[in-house]
Amino acid sequence: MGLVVYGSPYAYREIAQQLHPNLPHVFSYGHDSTAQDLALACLLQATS
Amino acid sequence: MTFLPPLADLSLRAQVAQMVVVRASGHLYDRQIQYPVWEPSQDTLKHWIKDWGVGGVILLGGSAVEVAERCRQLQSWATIPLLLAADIEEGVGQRFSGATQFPPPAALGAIAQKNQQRAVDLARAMGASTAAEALAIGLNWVLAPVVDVNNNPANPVINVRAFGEEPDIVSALATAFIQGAKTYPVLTTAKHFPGHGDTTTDSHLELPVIPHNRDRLQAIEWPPFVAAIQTGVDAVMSAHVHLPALDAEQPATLSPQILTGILRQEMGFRGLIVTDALVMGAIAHTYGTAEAAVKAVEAGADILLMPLDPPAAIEAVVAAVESGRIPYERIQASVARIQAAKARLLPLLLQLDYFQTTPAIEVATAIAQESIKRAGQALQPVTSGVNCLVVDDALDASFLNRTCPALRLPPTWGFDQRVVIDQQTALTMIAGFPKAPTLVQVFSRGNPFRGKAGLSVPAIATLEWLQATIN
Repeated sequence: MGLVVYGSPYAYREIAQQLHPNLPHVFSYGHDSTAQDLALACLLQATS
Repeated sequence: MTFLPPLADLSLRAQVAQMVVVRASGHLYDRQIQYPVWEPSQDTLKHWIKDWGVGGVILLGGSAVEVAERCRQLQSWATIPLLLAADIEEGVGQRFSGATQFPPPAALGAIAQKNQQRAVDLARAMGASTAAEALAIGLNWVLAPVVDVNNNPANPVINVRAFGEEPDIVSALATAFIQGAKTYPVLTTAKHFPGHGDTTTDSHLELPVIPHNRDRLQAIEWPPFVAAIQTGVDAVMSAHVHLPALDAEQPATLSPQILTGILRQEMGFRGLIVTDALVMGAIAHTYGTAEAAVKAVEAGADILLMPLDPPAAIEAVVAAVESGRIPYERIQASVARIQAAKARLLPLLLQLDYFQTTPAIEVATAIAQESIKRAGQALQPVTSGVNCLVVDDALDASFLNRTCPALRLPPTWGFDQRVVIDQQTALTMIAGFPKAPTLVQVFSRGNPFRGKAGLSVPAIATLEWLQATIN
């Protein structure tokens, strides 16, 4: 499972703290296509 | 601006009309109007501008190109050039397609946590880009930045519209935004005075009560307003909030103690005081058009924004002056400030080609990229998976169009079964979802009245089901 939350950092915080830390998850402030493009590209990359 | 008649040449009614900014659709044709209660038909709008001489128009809806034509049309009807305003806190593209949409201001706050100077530079560039794009379609009044300090995660109305949760960061980013915008001849607006950051009710619906005393306001809520005023912000917008510690009776928008006593006299603000929209529930439900308009002017407002019935608002203020309730000097002072603001603006100069290569895109992309949060391993492609989209309202999700990355990219990684969840999704459907690797994309602005984390009940049920079933 992978997760992207767009928009609310508060929703992201709440959802992410219940996820296994290894699950890929990303938060982006925007909803628009630029935000989607950047967030999904980020999801494919391992965290450093 | 081209022509500003001397105050003495204007009748009392014409002067009061200059203090009213009406709302209109950015679309040109009456049948395109989205909010018929609030947005007048073309004939009515033309009558308010040509015959009543209202001071300005706030526009909502339409593309950048449509709004440019709309601004040209509106200015052509006006004898005294109009203030043309829009709520473009997230760039001109937030309201008008074709222009550049920025991430919400909270994204800059997130960047500031890592590198404040970088965030300040981006805020300045965002202010400049917003101003440049506004001018290119004919808008001359930017109703931004929000300078509220969002120190309540359950805030339903400010939330990510604020730059941050700490006064220092909000001050730094708001002043940078204003400085950037001021490199162009547009008006800027700090909002919502005396602070809307710590509310848990939505002033669009009812009047929030803020229990804070003066010391707390001076420490948290007011520093960004003071900073904005020092930076030369052109306007300050009032909040529809009730602060019993400052005024036991009136909401801030209608409070002489708050608008005149604190903002004008103590803080020394000499620009335009504009009310928040007078059609909002917090004011409209309690006072009616006429009394709200009179009370706002009594309190010290120069501009009455979006009264439900503009002629009635004008007549009520005129009657209040004629009866002696409002001194005539009060009107003269407001209109002089409006004239001074209009004198700083330039005649309409539409530049629609500007958007073909607008530099704003680079700034907006940098803010979006640098504010992303990332954790966990890399997502692995699958052979057959689910792309699960969680939205508030599936029928009102303009960010999900046919070519958007959220729909287009996941299938290329094997997440090719699409499931859409919104607040109307029946809970009984959730147990029937495909049991397959799932990529969940949640779109939320965080409305705390919709259960945990601002998500709808079906959204929470879906996430819990996925946790229990797919993990």
